[in-house]
Amino acid sequence: MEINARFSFVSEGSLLVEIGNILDYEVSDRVQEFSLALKKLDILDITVAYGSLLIDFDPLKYNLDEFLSEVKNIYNSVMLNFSKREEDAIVHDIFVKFGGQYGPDLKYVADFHNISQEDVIREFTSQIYKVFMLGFTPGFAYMGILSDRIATPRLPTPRLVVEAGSVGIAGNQTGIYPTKSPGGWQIIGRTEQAMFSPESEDPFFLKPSDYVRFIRIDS
Amino acid sequence: MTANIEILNAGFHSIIQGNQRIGFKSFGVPESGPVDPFTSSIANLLLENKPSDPLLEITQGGLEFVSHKDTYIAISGADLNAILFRKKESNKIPVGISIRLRDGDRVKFNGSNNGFRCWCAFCGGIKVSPVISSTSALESSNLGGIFGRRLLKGDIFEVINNTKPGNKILLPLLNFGNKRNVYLRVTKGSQYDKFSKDDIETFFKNSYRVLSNSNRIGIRLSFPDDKIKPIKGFNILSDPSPLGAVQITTDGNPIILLQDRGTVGGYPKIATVIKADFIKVAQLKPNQLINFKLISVEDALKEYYNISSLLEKSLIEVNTDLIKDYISLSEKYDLSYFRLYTENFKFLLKR
Repeated sequence: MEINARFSFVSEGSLLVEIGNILDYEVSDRVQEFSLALKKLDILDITVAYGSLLIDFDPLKYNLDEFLSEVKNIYNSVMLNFSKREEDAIVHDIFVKFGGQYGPDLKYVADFHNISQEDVIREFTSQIYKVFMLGFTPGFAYMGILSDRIATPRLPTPRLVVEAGSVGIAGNQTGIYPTKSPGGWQIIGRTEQAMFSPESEDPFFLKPSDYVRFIRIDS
Repeated sequence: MTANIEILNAGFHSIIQGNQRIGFKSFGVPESGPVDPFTSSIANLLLENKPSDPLLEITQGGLEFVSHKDTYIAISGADLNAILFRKKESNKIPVGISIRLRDGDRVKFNGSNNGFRCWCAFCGGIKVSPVISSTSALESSNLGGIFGRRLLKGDIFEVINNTKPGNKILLPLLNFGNKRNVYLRVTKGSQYDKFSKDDIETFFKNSYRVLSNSNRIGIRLSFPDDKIKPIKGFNILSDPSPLGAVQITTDGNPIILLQDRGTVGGYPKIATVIKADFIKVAQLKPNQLINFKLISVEDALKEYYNISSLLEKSLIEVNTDLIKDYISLSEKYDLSYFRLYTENFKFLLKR
């Protein structure tokens, strides 16, 4: 797989690096590996997304050309030495109550695919999911890749309130709402595991490149 | 010796902002912090505080508070007509100098047609415990500041109140009141190349109107002219949302993304407002018209250098003996041009 990235300054203090414009495990692995290597630079922040990342830097500290070539050097060395290291991955078990008051859209997802609610749960819990990125709100993990047998479009109109811990589906993605918020994902269950604890030393339960195994518990 | 500030009226939107939340964007946490960090830092520097000590960001006005101990405050940004009430006296507080507050003094921001936001710093900064390495309130996530939200009537916060500030004064080098039609300079955004030539031309030719549902997440814009067909956004695989990104939603209305935005998003971003123009962005008020002007990243960087050095030079230490001479001279000759300064200097002396 040839990886040609696109580097563009999207502001005087941020550089966008696009590695691939697809939802793909290997592209995401490369983005995340690259983001770890960038931490040795004197930069302000990194935003990791599915196939791209954004580097925020202090424009008073760098010359644009020099900064770009430093980033490119790191990129080239990461990609040259890149190999998948799945054995290092952290897998979290997350216990979920499915359906009913916890998963008001489970029936819709089942009906959408013409299968039973039981089938949806079985399919959903049959694989582990990669955390591709966090966003939307602090601690909201975008995970995937869901099987096409249960992938379901978002709600036509977002709900005004989705309870904290709600497990949702949007297309081939799944996610957990860390806090009570508005949201348009199909809610199939809920977990009591806290995703975001702002006052704690380690506020985020899930981190980019972690994996999640959903385990069904009785509701 | 701390001082207590009690909110008598919170006004339209008043919120505690301090340092930026740096280093958590990959966990979905935006930088937060003042909408215009250049200008907010001035209020702090006038009091010898650190540039990003927690202060009040006041939008539109209406805020009224009482101080329950002697302390100092300083205001930067738009002149929202702050009035100091002491016993039966009332005086307008000028922007850009430090003011002494006595126990029982009330301050009210009446608002103005000329500008939308100001920052009010307190001696030593507002006492706030940092959450996710910042004191700034992030309302959408209910964290930071006081109770993670905007101020409400009855809130009380403590001020560190540790020093007596020097005689610093802000030279009026910057104009914080926006004109009716504001030009915002932008660089090419993340998906600039994905828009058609026609769409790009339309984007830069048009004026946009600021909508009233704008907030710290984003400034929402609409096309004021019904005759122009708005350019339409499209869905992209969610990618990072830089500060100042102008995203085009599927209904065609642009949003300028600010400090409290989501860190990733699925709308295309046609442009990014340059950092130096956040001085203007912070002052955008509903119904104001704006236009975008494309410049290069190199030019944006020059503007950033310029603004940074201008701000450094706009704060000067004044000598009280010189001020006294100045006041007597300007009063003797009734030089109206200098009247603003004279009033400001008198305030400094009164402390």
